Amino acid sequence: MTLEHYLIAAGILFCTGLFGMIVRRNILVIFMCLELILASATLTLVAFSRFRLTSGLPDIDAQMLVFFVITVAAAEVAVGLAIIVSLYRSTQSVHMEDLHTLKG
Amino acid sequence: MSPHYLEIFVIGLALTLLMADAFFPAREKRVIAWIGASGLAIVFGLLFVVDPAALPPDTIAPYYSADPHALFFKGLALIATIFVLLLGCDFMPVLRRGINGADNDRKGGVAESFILPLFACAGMMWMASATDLIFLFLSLELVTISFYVLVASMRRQVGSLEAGVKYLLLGALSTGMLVYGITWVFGATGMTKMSQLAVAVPGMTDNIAALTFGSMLVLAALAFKVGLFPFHSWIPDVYQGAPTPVTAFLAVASKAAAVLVLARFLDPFLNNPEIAAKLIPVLGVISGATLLFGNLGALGQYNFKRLMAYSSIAHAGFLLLGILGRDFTLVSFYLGAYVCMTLAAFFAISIVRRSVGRDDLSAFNGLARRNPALAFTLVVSAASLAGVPLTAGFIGKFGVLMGAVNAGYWPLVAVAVPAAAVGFYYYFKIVRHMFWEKPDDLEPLPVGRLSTTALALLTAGTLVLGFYPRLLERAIQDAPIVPIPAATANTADTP
Amino acid sequence: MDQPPMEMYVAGMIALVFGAAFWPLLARRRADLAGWFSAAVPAGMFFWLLGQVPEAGQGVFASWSADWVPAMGVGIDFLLDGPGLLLSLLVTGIGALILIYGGCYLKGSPQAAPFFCFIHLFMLAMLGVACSDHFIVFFVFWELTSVASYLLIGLGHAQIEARKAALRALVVTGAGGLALLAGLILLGEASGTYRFSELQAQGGAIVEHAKFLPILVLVLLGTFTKSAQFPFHFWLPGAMAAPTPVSAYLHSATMVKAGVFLLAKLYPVFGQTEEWRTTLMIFGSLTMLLGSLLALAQTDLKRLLAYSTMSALGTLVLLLGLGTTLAVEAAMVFLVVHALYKAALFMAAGVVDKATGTRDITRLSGLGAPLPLLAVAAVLAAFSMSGLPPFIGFIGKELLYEAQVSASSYAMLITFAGFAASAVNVAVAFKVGVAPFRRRGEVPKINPKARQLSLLAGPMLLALAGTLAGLFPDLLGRNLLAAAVSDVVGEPVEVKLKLWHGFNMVLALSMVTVAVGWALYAKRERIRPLIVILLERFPARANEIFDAGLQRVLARSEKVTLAIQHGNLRGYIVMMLLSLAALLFVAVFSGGGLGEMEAGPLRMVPVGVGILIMAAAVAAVRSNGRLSAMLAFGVVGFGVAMLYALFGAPDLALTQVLVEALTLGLFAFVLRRMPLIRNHSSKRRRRVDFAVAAAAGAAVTLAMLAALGTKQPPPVSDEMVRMSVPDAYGRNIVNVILVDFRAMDTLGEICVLAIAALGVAGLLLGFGTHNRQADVAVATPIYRAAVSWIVPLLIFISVVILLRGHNEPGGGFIGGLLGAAGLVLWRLTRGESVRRPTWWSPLLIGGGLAAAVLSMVPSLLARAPFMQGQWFGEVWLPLAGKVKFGSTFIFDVGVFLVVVGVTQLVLARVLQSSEIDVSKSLGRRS
Repeated sequence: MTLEHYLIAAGILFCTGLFGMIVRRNILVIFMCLELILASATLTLVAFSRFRLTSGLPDIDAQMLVFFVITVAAAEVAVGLAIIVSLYRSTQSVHMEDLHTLKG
Repeated sequence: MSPHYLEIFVIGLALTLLMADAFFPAREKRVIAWIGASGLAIVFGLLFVVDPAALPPDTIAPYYSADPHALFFKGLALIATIFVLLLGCDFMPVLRRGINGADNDRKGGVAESFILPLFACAGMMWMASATDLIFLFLSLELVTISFYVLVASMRRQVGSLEAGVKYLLLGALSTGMLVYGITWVFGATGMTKMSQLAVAVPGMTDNIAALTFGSMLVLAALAFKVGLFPFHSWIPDVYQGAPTPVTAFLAVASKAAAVLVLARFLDPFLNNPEIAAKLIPVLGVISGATLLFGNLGALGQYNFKRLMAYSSIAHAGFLLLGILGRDFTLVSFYLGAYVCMTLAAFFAISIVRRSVGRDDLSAFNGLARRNPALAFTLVVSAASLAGVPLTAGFIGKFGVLMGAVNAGYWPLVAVAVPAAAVGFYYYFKIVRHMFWEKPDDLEPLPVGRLSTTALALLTAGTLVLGFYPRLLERAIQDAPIVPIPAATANTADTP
Repeated sequence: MDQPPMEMYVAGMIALVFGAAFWPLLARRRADLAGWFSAAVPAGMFFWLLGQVPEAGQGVFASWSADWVPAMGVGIDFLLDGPGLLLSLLVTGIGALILIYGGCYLKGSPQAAPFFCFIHLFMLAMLGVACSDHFIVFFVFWELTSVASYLLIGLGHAQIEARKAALRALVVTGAGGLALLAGLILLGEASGTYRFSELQAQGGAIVEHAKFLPILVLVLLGTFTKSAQFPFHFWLPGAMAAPTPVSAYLHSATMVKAGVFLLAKLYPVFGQTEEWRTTLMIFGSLTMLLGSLLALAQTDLKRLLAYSTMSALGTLVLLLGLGTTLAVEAAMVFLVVHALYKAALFMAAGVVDKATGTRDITRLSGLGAPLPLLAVAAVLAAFSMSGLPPFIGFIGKELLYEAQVSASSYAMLITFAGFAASAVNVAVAFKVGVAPFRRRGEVPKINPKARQLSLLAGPMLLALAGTLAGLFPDLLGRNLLAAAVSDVVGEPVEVKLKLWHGFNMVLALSMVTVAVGWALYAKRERIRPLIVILLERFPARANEIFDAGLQRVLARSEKVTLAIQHGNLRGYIVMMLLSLAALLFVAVFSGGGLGEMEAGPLRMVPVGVGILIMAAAVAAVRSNGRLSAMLAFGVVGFGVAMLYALFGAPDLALTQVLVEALTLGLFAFVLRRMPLIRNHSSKRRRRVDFAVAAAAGAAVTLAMLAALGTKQPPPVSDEMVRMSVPDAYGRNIVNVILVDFRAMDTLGEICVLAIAALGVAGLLLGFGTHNRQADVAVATPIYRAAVSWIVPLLIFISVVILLRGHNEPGGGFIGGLLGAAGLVLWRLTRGESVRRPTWWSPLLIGGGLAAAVLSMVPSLLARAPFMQGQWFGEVWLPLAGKVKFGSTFIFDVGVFLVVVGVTQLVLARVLQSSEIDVSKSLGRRS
């Protein structure tokens, strides 16, 4: 296995996320697609760190970033869900196209 | 004292208030704002006594810098937060209605609106100092997530929630781009520290494609935060929907911090001739398009907050022009001026909004008769935003234009000058409403003592900086935008 | 040569600033008094300036300078050269009279206070324009005059016309000002100096520069808009909506002259180029003729004067375009002459208006009897305007004709045009200055207020000045005008003004002019309708075109804005992604091809996991069911965790698994209450979506492929690894870095978690009710039995992980996640609702954060670097191995507590708030 294999895999994951964001219309699903994008980014990072061994150990800086990305993503999910739930409570919809009061 | 304690103090302050409110809820939530603001004011005072040389060299210094730019932006973040907290006091009745509904008189939820800005402030102060991409990511997210909550915090209003969802999804997308971009920059260089990048990237000839890929992704993410076309689309909607203090906070502090980060990040890449050859045209197009779109969009606006949103987009175009001109002192000055005049404008709308109940431009009708002093401050602020001479805004715009001229970006100057001219039209629209339109009711509009003081300070700042710009220039000096500690410069030379 | 100081001048300017703040207060009550008192400052300056005249005649000019924005090389450099002195004298002299006049004119009106504020600001700005040597400072004052003019025109904002006019004036002069700024900056860059004096010393050298033409165009745009040259002339007549004192001051005597003034300043630089001369001659003559023609159609006193002012401005521009010394001399003389008579006539018109309530010349007559003093002043001014001897206007006209006759090219044409304009000028002069005062029937009744001295002083003094200057022209010519002309031409010129030149062609022309002008005046009732009909044949008037254009720009911009800012979130996302694709496209295709891929053997396990991830991702994006989507997303997350494990990053894998489980749980609870996921879009739209998505995906893929083949850069975090064991007593590098080297980041990270919890709590507070049924349903006996032994184990493990985190995989974060999971299960077994927020979760969060923050105290006390581990001791514990207690450990505990607290709080809030829908729907069903 080379670095490129992983990078391509991560790239495909990234594109899948993009694809989902464009094609889907449910806010929750789009939110999950965003998590795919983040997962692809972290996968790339870990791959880079794995293939850059330092005294037999993977690169630490990259792993740190991955760790932070995971936690931040979790925090984002929590806040995001809270906002989406509030929205749903007031509009009874989580459909993207129902959000159009602010424009112009 | 080492500068990094400043953020710790802010976090500690936020924490204390959080705990105090959780267990001994104050009946009057204003107290929280007052304590928070005065605490931040103390931290602001500390800003002048910290010693950048005291940074622990091994543990903190590698990813935390206390160069003059960082300290200046910490100051901006603190000032902005102080004023936003005071603004929140004024806006409390609206806020409470938005959070708990018209008939619900529970006091819950309001305290968050005063405590979250403190965390966000710490995040922005960290952003100003972050010279490591990882730390940068974290501080940026700290700010962003606070803002997700703050924007949506008036949860009984569909507008606020819609703004929240829009900001959430688009912001999360930009986070994804940021992380993916950092990843590729790391992949190409093996570095996350900006000081190392600043030394290594300019001379790099390998991995240019990967570096360009990464830098473009990060550029897209930061362009989102700064509000550059075509990544601006959240700005008008979110500015309009969010509670006014939050909008002010977004427009002022978040933008300022993001501009500094953008300039810091781009600097090494702009020094690499091969990457710069791709980046500079892209940045030029973005800047021109932003100037055009921001100003044209503002022309037809009737909602004050939306007008300010487009104005903020237009200013982002000028700021990018300043970054392109590579004279960051000018950009800092511009931002300092921008903070003063924009905050004053938001103070005015929040006062008017509370009395009239709308934030249309028509809410300002006859303000000159209802409260001449308030009208005067808004005139100064509008004039400064438009770039009328002898206000701070003029010096900022002029400096940025000069920078672009010196760098030889003629087509951009050709766009920027008419764009500035258009600004005259829509900023003076506000003035017209205040002076020339008949108000619905002629009753004098009272302004609280706190707001009066704040407005007086901001207006004085706008005017003083316009008359005597050296005041701010002295604070910034001519420091390099990416500080390179002597130690890292040596180690990075050796690969 | 020693330059005399101009502190007096600067002090006067400062006094004006204070005046702008102070006099409005008085003007609110007693505008007339304010007028008299406030006139002291400009009058004082006027006499001081008069004192400078003899020295200026010797070529010695006062100057003053101070720093302003040294970083940009902008200094406040004042230099009172010949033209500057001339303009300053006009501004202060006429200004003092206008203050007296305006105070009386506006007495009792609500406009008085703002008038006094703005007029002082305007005076300040004009003085700045007159004496600024630095381009940028000059521009600052230049724009300030536009703004002041806007505010002054807008004083009559009750009428819609005044507002439109003010806006027009602002847009035209403001935009012109910015063009001027661009031109001046270009000029500064091209010539290497930002000072007029230095630029003038360079002479015409700049003409050779490549940017000469853009500079000229931009500068001329600025001056033409300010001086109301065709095709920007339309704002000037509109500006007559301002109160008369304003019109008299700004729009005839001073502000509109600023453009001409700048042209004169730049004359030494550009004056001899073909482009300059042609442009100025063409636009000057056009403006002159158009102004005259339009003037013939007017019946309103002020509009008559406005159009004749426009014509005079055209004349001045034309003269500066002729390029001869004589023409410059004529221009300078005419500048003064025009200011004297035009201001006098404007003020007279204002008094007439005040006296009778109308400005319509067809209805005015016989005012000579009730207003004899005014009549004298008006007639004197009118004679000066018509160029009758012995008034200064005569000298001006003689010079004018002399210059036009001796023009190097098209002399005939220019002279004829000048002749036509002068003839009309005579007619206008008689219409304004003579006709209203002649008796044609009974004497009208007038408002006695119009007889006040304050109103009459201005016109009388100015008319007198015009007469005196005509009788003793050397008073004006020898020093003042000589200095001005010499400066403009760039060499010493002696200006000798004489009334009598002998019989020559010029005198003949003058006489014919007066005759024709008289004829035009006598036959005015016949001529006007003809002109009106002629003008109506024009397809549109300039200000209509401007207004329509402005409307169109506004409408278009609104349309464009709405098209881009349509409010649809999906559209925003698509736009952002496509823009990203465009950026990446640029990154790939502006150089370099695709990167090379290193081929290598594939291994079963990673390939299998990779395929699993991708398949799951595709399924997740495509799936329409709630559960299937959730599951698919979950598989992606766990698959990624597996890859981490394969990469030798057990910490990350563990973290990923736990976080994934938690977020999936949250998603599941929320999704459960929401409508089914469906695509509501039509097929066509879906096809478009696919195309867009494919484009974005393709760009990312291409850019990534290009970026592949990245060579391995040398590692840099070597140092930390080497340092971590001895320095921080730790072998688990990730955790050691987290709490030691990256303590600051980790603090930021737990802050993120804390604010997330705070946010969730705030957003969902009070939403949902507690539904016991659901809890009871979960807490079945079997479940309780199954969980009862898991819970203690989980909590135990979590503590162990926390303790040994420093050396082995684990640490505060993972420990916290496990502990939180255990806690949830435990509360369920007790039949306690997880949905109910507990009082201790905020305490945990706050306590944890506080622990993290406080863990720095030991290092602070020890005066050691921030958060560097301070060790208290070492204990051996079963399972955990050697555990070192120190500040780092406290920090770790803080992280642990925050994670537990946040998890509890978030879970509780989200679950509780999604509960209400159940009870609602239950209620509806039953």
